Amino acid sequence: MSEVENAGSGKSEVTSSGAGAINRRSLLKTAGALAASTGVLGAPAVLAQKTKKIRFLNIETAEGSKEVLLKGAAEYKKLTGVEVEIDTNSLDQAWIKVQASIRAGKPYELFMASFIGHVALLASQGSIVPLTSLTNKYKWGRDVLLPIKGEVYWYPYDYNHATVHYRKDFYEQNGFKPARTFDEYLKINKAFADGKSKVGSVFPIESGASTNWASTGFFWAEGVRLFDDKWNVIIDNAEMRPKVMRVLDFYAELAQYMPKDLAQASWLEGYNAFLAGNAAHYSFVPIMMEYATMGKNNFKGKIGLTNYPSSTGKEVGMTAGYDGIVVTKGPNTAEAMRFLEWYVDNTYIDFICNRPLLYQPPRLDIYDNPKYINSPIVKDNPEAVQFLKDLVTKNDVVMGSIDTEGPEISEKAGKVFQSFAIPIMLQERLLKKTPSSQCVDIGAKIMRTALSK
Amino acid sequence: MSATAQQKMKKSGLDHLLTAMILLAVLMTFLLILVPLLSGIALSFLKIDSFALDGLPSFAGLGNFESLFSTGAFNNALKNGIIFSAASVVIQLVLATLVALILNQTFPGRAFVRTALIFPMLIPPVVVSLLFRWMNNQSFGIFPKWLQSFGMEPIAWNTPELAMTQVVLLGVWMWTPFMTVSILAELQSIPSSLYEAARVDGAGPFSQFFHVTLPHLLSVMSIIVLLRMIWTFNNFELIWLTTGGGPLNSTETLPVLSYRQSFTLYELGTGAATATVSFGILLAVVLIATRFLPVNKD
Repeated sequence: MSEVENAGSGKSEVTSSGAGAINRRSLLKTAGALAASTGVLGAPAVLAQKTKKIRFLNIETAEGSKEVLLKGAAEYKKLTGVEVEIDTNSLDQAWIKVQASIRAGKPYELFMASFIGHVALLASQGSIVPLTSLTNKYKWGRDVLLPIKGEVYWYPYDYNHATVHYRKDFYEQNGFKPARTFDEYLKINKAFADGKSKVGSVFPIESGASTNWASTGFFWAEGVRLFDDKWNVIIDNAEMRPKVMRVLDFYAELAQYMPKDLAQASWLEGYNAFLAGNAAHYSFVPIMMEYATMGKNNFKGKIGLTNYPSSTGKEVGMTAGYDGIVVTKGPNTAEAMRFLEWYVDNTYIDFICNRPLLYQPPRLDIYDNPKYINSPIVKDNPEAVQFLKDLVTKNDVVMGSIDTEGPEISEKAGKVFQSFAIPIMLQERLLKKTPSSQCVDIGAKIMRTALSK
Repeated sequence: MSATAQQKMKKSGLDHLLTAMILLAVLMTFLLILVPLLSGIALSFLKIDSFALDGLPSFAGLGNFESLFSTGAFNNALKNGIIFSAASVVIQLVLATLVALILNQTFPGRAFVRTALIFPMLIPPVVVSLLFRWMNNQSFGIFPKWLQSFGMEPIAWNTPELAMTQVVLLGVWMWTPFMTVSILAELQSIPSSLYEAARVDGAGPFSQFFHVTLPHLLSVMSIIVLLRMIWTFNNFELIWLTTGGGPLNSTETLPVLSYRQSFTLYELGTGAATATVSFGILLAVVLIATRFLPVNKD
């Protein structure tokens, strides 16, 4: 039995002339089909259309985000005929797929990145193209373009700062104000915790990205820096050691107001404890506020955002986070650039305005955009919006993040991030009660080993 | 054509079919087991820089193995793997034997209990792990609430002291049914006449267990213990999902270490070296077991 594609109609016609039998009729049919299909493939317009497809690796899985991207892709196709395939993946999987696609010689034309170290790595290898000409068209918030040797290699689409959330209603009832010092913060935690299910704070200490991001704000507030200008690890030098020790000892005190199963806490434990009314503080991007506006929880008006305190209160800190779109080098780079140029003036704004707190705008014009101003989430949370805007337009908060530490943007900081040196220091201090000075030695050793590889 | 000739042709056709099926099985084994295995072993002798996408792998000799043994991580993971496998399998064997003995008796609802016993095996490890985590969460978990209602402190499972106990208990909960079912099947095949004869000879329940039941169970016990040891030693998902190998590497076994090296630290060569050594250890265990245990009994 043989099957021949009828090129004209697109239907299949099945002949039953026996296995392997070739007769005049079937030969003519096959030849006709081949000629027809060759003609179709040879048509210049169709051929051009076939090659006009670019792939966009999306890492944003929050409700509605993928839909906005798909809508944008459909609009773009209607406008230009170019198909933009949106491939949605978790953050962990995305980097593996980006690497694999580049190695295979068929890179994703565009992808979203969360770690600037990855961007630096690809830039150093010439796998991605500069986007400076696009970013130059707008004004940006602080510390987000993160240029590498004078060129910007990603188009930032949000800030993801690890913001400390507090129970506003509890603060108001007890006359508390957001803490600037460790002592003030401990006092508030003590007032909320009941030694049973109610805890003052939930900050993860697992060996994972959640700890690197959500639990390091106290270090930045205290003025801790990880490297000198030659990439030497300095957390154990005369200046940094006491600072790191102070934060570790503060954590040891705070631990009495945190859950006992702290080592298991990851992204969601703090969120869920807060949502259950059992935690006064946790750190995340303000999606709980968005859900309150959407009517998905009863915390409307009950959540406040604040910074991480320090020992003296002289400075407060924040762990910075960002995401950006990257364009890879390849045969479709020009097409990808054309799409990105269109995207940043169209879908980009819709994408941000769909979840304006989760995707805090890095581009300053967005804050004045009517779509943003009239977003129900923005209207519902003016204090939070102002707090977030101040973070990126003023310089009164010490910003830090492991992957942007060091004299320049480099994958070196990424290696230290992946070594989980800070989570291990915290675990040593809180779970094994190791003296803070020894914890610093352990952390410094892990960082140096990571850098040496 | 004579009947004999027809029979010969039929036999020859059958032989061809059998040969083809065997060849297919060999080919599949080669493609799906041997090729990945050999690739993994080859990888352990290569230096691959995940941070250099345009760089080609280079021969590293025994460099990855030296790197592996130069830190305490390997010894720690090996020790944890042995504790995890041995504790899990011993507890499972004892429990499974007791449960199988009970289920071998006649009592109302026995069929239901036997069916219900299988349920833990049907639940994916990711569900078991997450449920356990949520149920034990101090802020909103049900177990801490119960303990607190009796005036007791919640148990902090994820500490260096208790984390291993936690994963062992979860493993026991999940996989004891497999052992129970296997032992129960063997129990049902023991002729009742043997017990009658033992009773006539004055043997009590304990004596019957040690002189009739246990000798009959030894063969199946050897097989399931060996299988469970291999599966537990190689288990990745339960530990990874429950503790991630922590805290402070207190539950990090060789598969978890290999994953961490390969996909967290991006040291693919060292990760492959860990997997190769782990494979070698298991191979040695299997060879010794098949030599000395009654698993190859005809």
